[in-house]
Amino acid sequence: MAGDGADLERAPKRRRRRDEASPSRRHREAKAARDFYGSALDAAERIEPEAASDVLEAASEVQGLDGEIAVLRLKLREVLADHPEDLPLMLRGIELLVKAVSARYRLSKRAEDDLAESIAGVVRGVGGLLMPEAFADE
Amino acid sequence: MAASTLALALEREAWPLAALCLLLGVADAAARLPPEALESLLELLEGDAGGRRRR
Repeated sequence: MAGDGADLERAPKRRRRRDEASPSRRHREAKAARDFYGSALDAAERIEPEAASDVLEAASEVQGLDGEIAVLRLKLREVLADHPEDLPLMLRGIELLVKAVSARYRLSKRAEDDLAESIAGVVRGVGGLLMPEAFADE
Repeated sequence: MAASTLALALEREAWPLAALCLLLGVADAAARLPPEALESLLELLEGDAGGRRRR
């Protein structure tokens, strides 16, 4: 029976919690997260909706800009309806995503804050439509 | 090379458009991740969020 007690003592050591991960492992994990949002930024730069550039060139044409936003919002809703598991990546990774954008485009602190707020608003809006119960208290 | 929609949106401070481009970028990058990588990335982000809350 003495062996049972020893097993019980050893058991928790087999499952290493993330908090206790070695610094090098945590460093690798943090790098993986930054790399992911860097890739997301690369992908975002490839998005070329029809007429978006024209719309933005004539920034005063608010109605046109709204149309482009509506098209992209619909596209995002379709993507998330097919892959709702991506929603947490969008919600929890906002800070890393904004940092990646800020580093590449040298955004001001105010611009960073405005962008983060916009991203959160879009995620809450689309998330609330797809999963009202999960976003009820957002 | 023509500027991307995202670059133009950021330049014009069209934040909702920039946000949509970025979120579609996240969806695209997520689609290329193996499922187990998605899980560990979420775990990592959950840990970071917890750390910030504790501060």
